[in-house]
Amino acid sequence: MPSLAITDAILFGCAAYLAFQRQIPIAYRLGFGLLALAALLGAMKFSGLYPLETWHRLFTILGGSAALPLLAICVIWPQSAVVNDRQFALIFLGAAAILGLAIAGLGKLRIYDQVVGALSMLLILWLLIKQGEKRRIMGLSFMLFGSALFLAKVQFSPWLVPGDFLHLGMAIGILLFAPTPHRLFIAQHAE
Amino acid sequence: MKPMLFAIPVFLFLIALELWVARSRGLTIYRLKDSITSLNIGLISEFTKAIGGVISAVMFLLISKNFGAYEWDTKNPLTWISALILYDFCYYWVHRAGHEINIMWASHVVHHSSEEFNLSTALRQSSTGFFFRWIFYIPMALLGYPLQVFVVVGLIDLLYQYWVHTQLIGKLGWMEKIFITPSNHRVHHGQNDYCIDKNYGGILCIWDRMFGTYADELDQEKPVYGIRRPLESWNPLWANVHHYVQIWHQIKSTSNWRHKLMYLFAKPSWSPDVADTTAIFATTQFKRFDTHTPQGLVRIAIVMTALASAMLMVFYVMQTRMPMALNVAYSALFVLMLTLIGWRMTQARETMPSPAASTSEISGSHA
Repeated sequence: MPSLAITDAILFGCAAYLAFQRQIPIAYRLGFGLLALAALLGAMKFSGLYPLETWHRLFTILGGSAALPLLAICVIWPQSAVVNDRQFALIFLGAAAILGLAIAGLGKLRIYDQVVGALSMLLILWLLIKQGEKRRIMGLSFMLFGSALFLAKVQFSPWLVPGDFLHLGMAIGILLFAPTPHRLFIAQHAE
Repeated sequence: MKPMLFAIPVFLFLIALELWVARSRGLTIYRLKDSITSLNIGLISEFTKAIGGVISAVMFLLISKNFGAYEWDTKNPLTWISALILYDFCYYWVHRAGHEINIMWASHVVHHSSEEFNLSTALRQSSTGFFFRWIFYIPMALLGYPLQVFVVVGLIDLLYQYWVHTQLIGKLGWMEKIFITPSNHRVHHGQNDYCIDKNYGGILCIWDRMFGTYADELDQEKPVYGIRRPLESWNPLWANVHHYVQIWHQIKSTSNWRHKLMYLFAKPSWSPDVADTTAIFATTQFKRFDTHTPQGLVRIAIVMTALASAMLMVFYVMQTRMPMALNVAYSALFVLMLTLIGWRMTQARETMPSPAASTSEISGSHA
């Protein structure tokens, strides 16, 4: 089985686990859910189990153009309706997804979702550095590092291809980035 | 477009039949000015669908071509059945969003603006829905359903919804559990507390049952039809834009960006001061909007509506043969004609005390 299938399955497992955490705000869960869907389609495609090539491409675009901006909103405005109310989270995700679909999907401007995704992660990192949240800073660093290795097409070993670094970086990154119940408690009482 | 060429005479015949049956039972379920307005709104919407339909079809084709995952055999009945069920599921969400997101309610409110409930109400369709409706059907394009299947099942879903707009048919036993019926659709059009945001399905009500939005019609409290902020106009153009105008005024009234966004995307009942203004509706205090319109003007309105129906039939036939500029000019003339007659009929309201004042939340400054 190709390494990409295994690392995408790992990413799927991590993202799906977080998407099902009822105690974290809905926007986080939707963002992780969308990443999980892209990873599941990747695992199915790379393993040859049930390849849906076009859907994997689309949901990868949506991951960058919709899921990551939504996660950025979670850090920028943690008390906002978009983060805490299902209706507004879905509207934001839907609008961002339509933009991504139109520009990167139909318009073939793949740089759009890459730039939007990268800017979202950088923005999150900057805010977390300002807030001094070490665990989450480490998470974002993993996400960015994995993405950078993927874009630079770096290959350290014969067993891991560049895409694996993206998958593993994202998997470890989101686990560290996701808010813990303890952190949510502090955030709520800081209001 | 062509199926509507045949459907419109059938719709008009069924309206006449419903009127006759109602009269023979001693029921008054039609008011002339309301029905004329419903028909005029429906006629205008058919013109905008000529443009909106193209947008939907193009987007569907593009997405299907680029991301469609499967190929479907149009000779296989399962293709059609699965497409119809999926279409109805997507319709549930379009419809629900149309009620629960203010900017989308601005479009769908047209359909609910009648204070009567009869077959003419079914034709009171929005002219602005095409901006966003296609988005909700993207799952069908991603599954790769052919455009022709999408268009045909869409038409079936739409035509099914015609017959449920009647007060002459009671509860239908087991059908109430699975299908949208006249009884559960009456609930959808009611403004009673128990009717708000209920029964969104197109053909099937199983979606409502699954997602907790189903409500049965209560024998002890019949639905009162219409909207909480009454339209108070017979003008078809105003019916289409009045809620957009209201949102615009609300957005302008505040400097708070959160509130501006909430006015666009929150529930229509949202306000900065009160969490939910939909609660408590006094059914006994409700009075329908009416005007003292001279009989001569009403007769002119009837003739204009009949003329507009004929013009629409001509449009269906000639549309593809006419240059775009002529299409636009023809449509503009058509809209202007119906708007003028609606506006003139509404002018007469000044001679009557405002009967809907007890439930009105906005002034009728448009009249």
